[in-house]
Amino acid sequence: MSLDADLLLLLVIGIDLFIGSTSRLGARIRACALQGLVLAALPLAIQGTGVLAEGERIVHTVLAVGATLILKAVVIPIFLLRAMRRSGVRREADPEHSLHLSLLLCGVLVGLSFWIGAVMLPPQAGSSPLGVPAGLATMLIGLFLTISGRTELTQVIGYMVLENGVFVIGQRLLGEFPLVVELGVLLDVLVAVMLMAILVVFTNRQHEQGADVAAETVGGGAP
Amino acid sequence: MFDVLMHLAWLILLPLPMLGLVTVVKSWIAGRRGPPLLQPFHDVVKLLRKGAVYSRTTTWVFAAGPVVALSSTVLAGLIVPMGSPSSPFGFSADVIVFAYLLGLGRFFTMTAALDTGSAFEGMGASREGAFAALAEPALFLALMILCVPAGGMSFGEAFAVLPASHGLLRSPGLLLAALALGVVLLAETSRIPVDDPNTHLELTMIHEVMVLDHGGPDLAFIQIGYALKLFVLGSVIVHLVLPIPADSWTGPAAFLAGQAGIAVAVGIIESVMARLRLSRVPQFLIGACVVAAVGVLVLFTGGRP
Repeated sequence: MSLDADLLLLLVIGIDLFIGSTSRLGARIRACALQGLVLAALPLAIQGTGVLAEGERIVHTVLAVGATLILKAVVIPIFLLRAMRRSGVRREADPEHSLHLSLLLCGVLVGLSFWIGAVMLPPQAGSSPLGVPAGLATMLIGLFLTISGRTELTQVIGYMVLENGVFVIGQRLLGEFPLVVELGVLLDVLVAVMLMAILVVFTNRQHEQGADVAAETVGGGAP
Repeated sequence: MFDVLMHLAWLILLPLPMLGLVTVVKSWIAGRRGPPLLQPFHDVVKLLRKGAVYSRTTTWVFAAGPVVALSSTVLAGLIVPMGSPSSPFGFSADVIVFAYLLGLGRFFTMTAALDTGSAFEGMGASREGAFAALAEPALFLALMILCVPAGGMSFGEAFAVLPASHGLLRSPGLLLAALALGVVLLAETSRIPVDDPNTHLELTMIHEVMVLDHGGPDLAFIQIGYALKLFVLGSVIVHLVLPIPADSWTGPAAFLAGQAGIAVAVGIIESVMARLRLSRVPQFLIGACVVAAVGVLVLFTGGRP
C-alpha cells in the first residue's frame, strides 16, 4: 500500500510545482481541485495504525474521503471559478517576481521541506517516507503563494494549497485524522474561501463604482 | 559478439525510421495519411547525392560542425546499452562522457552556425546555448538518480541494477527521472514544445535556423545526427522505464517496443501541444530541473529507491 501513497504524495508535490509555475488562474484552480482529488484518495492508500476498531475505521475513512472529495475537489473549486468569472478579475496571476523565480523558489521550498522532514520527523516504519516532506512542501508553497499573490483570488488559492498541506501532514502525523478536527479544518477552509470570494466580488463592485483609475493604480503600481 | 553486431545494426538502421514514425503518428492524428516510414531515409539519400555550397565567409569550422556533431552522437550511441545489459563502448563513468559528447556535438553545431556570420544563425545559436544550459542540470540530476542506487557511474551498472529491484511504478524517483529525461529529450532534439522542427519562420526557429546554411551531405549528416540523438536519448528512457530482460530475444523486443512507444509519445505531444512562447521555454526546462531535483531528494529520503 505504501506504493500508492508514495505516488499520490509525489503527485501532490508535482501539483504544487505546477501551481507555483503557471500564470493562468483557471489552471491554478483546476490544479487545486485535482490536488483535492488526490488528497481524497490518500486516506485509502495510507493504512492507519490507530486504535479504532475495524468497522469504525471504515466509516471514518468513508466520511473523510467523501467530505474531502466533495469540498476540496468540487465545491470550493467551483466556487472559486465562479468568483473568478463574476468578478472579472484578470485571468492571469500577476506576481511581483517572474514565474521562473517562483518555480525555482518552489523547488527550494521542496528541498527545504525534505531536509526538515529528514531532520525532525524520521519516517515511521510502515508509513510513506514522503508524507512529511510532501505535506511541508505543500504548506510552504501555499504560504509562499498566499503572501506573494497580488489579488484576492491568488491569495485564496494559496490558502487552499496551504490547507491541503495541513491535511497531508495531519494524515501522516496522526495516522488517522480525528474526524472532528478534520471536519473543523474543512469547514474553516470553506468559510474562509466564501468570505474571500465575497470580498473579491465586493471589492470589484467598489472599483466599478469608484473609478477605473483606482484599478489602474493598483494594477500598474509595479516599478 | 552478437550483441555488438545487433547494437551496430540498430544504430545504423533504426534512427531514421523512428523519426519517420513520429511524422506518421502526427499525420494520423491530423487525419492525413502521412509520408512513408522511410521518408527521412530517402531525404538523407537525396541530400548525400548532392554537392555542397560553402559561403566565402566560412572557415573549416563550418565544415567540421556537422561531422563532429554526427560522430559525437554516434559515440554516445555506442556507450548506451540498447536492449542488452552491456554496450560496445561501455566503461566506468561513461555517463559523464555521454553527457559531454552530446555537449560537444552541440558546441560544434553552434560554432558552425556562428561561423556563417549570419545574424539569424547567431540568434539560433544563442537560443540553443541558453536552452541547453538549462537542460543540462536536468540531464545530470536524472543521471544521478539513475546511478546512485547502482553505486557506479556507468549505464551498464545502472541498468543492471534497475530491473531486479524496480520498474517504473515501483520507484517514484525513477518516474521523476524519466519525466525529466523526457523533457531533456524534447529540448535536445528540438521538438515541440521547445522548438518546432517544421517551422520556417526564422524569428522563432532554434535548431533549424542554425543549419540553414548547410546543404548537401552536410545537411544529411545533421539530419542523421538529429535522428540518432532522438534514438540514443530514447534508449536511455526506455531502459529506465521498461524492465528489459537480459534474454537475447525478449530484451531487444521490449527495447524496440519501448522506442516505438517513445516515437508515438513524441508524435502525440507534438499533435496536442503548441510550441511554447520563447520566453516560457526556460520555465519548462527549469521545471524539468526541479522535477529531477525532487527525484534526487526522494531517492535520498525514500530509503526505497
